[in-house]
Amino acid sequence: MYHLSDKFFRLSQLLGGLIATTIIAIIVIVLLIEAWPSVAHYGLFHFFTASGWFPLEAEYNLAPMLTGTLVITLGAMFIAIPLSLASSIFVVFYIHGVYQHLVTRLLELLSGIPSVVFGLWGMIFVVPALLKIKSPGTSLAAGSIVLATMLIPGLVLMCMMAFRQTLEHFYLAGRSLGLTKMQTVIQVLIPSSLPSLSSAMFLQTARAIGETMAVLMVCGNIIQYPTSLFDPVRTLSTNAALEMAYATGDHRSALFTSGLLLLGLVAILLKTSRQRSIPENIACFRSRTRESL
Amino acid sequence: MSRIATFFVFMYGLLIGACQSESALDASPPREKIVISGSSTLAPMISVMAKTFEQDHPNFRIDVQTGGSSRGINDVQLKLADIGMVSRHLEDTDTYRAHTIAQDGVTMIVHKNNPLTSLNKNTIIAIYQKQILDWSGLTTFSGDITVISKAEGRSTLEVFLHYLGLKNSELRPDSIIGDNEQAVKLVVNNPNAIAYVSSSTAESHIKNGSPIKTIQIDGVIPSTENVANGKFPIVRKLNLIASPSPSTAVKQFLEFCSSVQGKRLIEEFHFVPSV
Amino acid sequence: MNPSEKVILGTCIFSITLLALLYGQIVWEITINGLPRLSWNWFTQAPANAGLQGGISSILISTMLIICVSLITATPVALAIAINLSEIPATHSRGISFLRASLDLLASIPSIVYGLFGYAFFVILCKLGFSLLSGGLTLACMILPLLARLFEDRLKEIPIAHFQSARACGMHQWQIYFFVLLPSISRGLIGSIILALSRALSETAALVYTAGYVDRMPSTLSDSGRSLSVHILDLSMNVPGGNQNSYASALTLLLLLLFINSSALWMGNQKSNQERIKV
Repeated sequence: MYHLSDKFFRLSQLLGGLIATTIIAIIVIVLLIEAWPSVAHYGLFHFFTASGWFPLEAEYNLAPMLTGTLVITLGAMFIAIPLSLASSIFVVFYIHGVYQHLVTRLLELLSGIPSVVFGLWGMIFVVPALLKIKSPGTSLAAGSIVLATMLIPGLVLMCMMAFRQTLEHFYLAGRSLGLTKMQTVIQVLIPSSLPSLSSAMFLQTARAIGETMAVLMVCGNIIQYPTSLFDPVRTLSTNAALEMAYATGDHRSALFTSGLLLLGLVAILLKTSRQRSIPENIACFRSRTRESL
Repeated sequence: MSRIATFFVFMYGLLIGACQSESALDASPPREKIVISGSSTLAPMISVMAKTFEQDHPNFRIDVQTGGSSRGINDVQLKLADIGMVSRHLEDTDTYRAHTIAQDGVTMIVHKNNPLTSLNKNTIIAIYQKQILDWSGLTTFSGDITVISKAEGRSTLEVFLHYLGLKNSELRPDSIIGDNEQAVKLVVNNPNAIAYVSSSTAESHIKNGSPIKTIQIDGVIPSTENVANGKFPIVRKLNLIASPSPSTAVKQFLEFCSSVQGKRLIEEFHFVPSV
Repeated sequence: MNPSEKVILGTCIFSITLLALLYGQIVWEITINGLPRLSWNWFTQAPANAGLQGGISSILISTMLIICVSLITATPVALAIAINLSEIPATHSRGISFLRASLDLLASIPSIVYGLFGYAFFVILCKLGFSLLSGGLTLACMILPLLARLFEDRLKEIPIAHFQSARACGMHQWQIYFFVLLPSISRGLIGSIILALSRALSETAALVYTAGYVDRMPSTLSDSGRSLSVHILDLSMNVPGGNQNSYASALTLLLLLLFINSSALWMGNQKSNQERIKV
């Protein structure tokens, strides 16, 4: 019962999937080839047990930077998620017509500002402000704040898109059941747009993990386990950005190993988030789409 | 939707057009093309030199790429680039020869409000090892010293460590940065900070009125003359590397870099032309 | 309105005010530092003296070309993937869950790794050299997961009735998508493309290694060209005294985005006269 055009359509979909998987395969292969010399030379455990990260002295410990990445990302999302969720609710449900349109345009503009500019802003405003609290200013807190500032416009936009779509389906139904506006938002719209919201948050978390320039400029880049918010830290991706340009031999190879580690980290995050976030109703809903063919 | 579709069809048309105009250009008489890649410190200066060179030699086309010294070496070895820019000392190998075009001092900078004028080697070591924590022991100024150092692999760090006779693991900085500009920006915003940067960067910032100042090291002012005559102790070499048997085009450009005109451009960027 | 609702509304108002102040300050900073440099010459002259003098005309053109290449290669692929993903639930097919996992991995790769991948693959292996084409393709790989994810979310939100009634009319699958489903979400699709575009515009590290650093006016796609964000990075991090021009470039980037947004809006305008639910 499949028409030729349907087959062609299906084929093009498969091709798309193939392209995406090929890209990731090539990236992993490039990383593996480049990382192999250092792994073969030092063994995988060296990267967690060495005395520190001193490439000139052949010591490559990635563990503190892994911690730094996790802590900074966590901090940034801790700031960004509540702020963007609250503001996107306000923009979608309490600002109307032209004004809402205007806010959307402004957010789109803000999400296109290069991370360098946020980094510069952080160096000029955030770091000196934190310096007044505790020296040296360039710190975990500064990194998280700047990262959050960078992510919020995109996150708000994505949340707004999610709300706008579910709004059309559920808002009137909610109101007609006698719920107030806020009740509809909290009890109907947020749960029903949860899949889109969580995918937005995941995308931004992923971006936060991989972000280099802005973090590099404000977080101090000292390789250590942070003990307070005002301690400087270094993340895996800033490590690569800082040292890649001047690294040779095993040092360069070790930086690629850190890239692989970053991928591994994301894969683990994915695995854990995947188990919860597949919304059952949508899964069933879509399989019906296929069956109806 | 139809407008979007039209737009995309239009864009694909443009793309195909662009690819075809490319093949049309290939048919035109070939021009001498030189690709230069490497150190981000040298890239702005070399791209200005390349433009000047292109003006005198209209059939030349020089593309300057950046991405770090190690990329410069890598690109020359892979023959992706004809000339590599390397901002550190290096030995000749059988794949490339180094041509030192300029020298650059590495100087200590502090905020303008800091009354400090001079430091000697032992004090610098004490500051960078956190044996001196406060400015009050050194000058009439007080406050926790914020020690800024550079990331592993930077040539400024290498020559700095070489001067101090220390290993990188023995330094205890508060903040590690990459580029010279970043150090200047941190010092501008933090009166208690001390950092070491390329003296060309420091000099052009002081000329532009940034609130920073350079410090005498062992009583020597980090001026261009002192770097040139070797009095100033911390100096790095800026090299161009090319294959041992370069093409005539590459040779011409390398000669231009050490010509009078080239040297004038080097001085404009506050580097010290090598003799 | 009961007290707890008031608290929630208060939080919303507080956060939007906070954000307005924060971003207002950033944009203000860019504007007052950048505006004095903007003039007719700024848009029409090529940069001179490492970007300290002259304008940014060649950089604007390079940026536009890179963005065009990346968008027109990434959009169809992302759309194909998104249709695939939205139709088949991950629990039903191993291939799809693998595809989804690879997209999520792609989304979180640091841009510097993309740069090195583009350098190794497009520049060296595919022999494209340092060119606008390799830069655009690298960016396409970068925005692909973002676009696919956003498209997928939009597709999933189409009520199933649309699909079924189109099917009942005897339409082929591609007709259903191109004449019924995609037009009904054209606004969302354009919004997604703009988001991806702004991500692409703000990218630096990936482009330094692929599209390159040359600030000459590009004549073909195989020329190397510097994008606006690379120019901003270079002026603020490598060229002493380049601060003001880097702010002016950032302001230009904002203006460029404004221009692109409004033209995209014009293209997606057809939906806006449809009746929308009033909140």
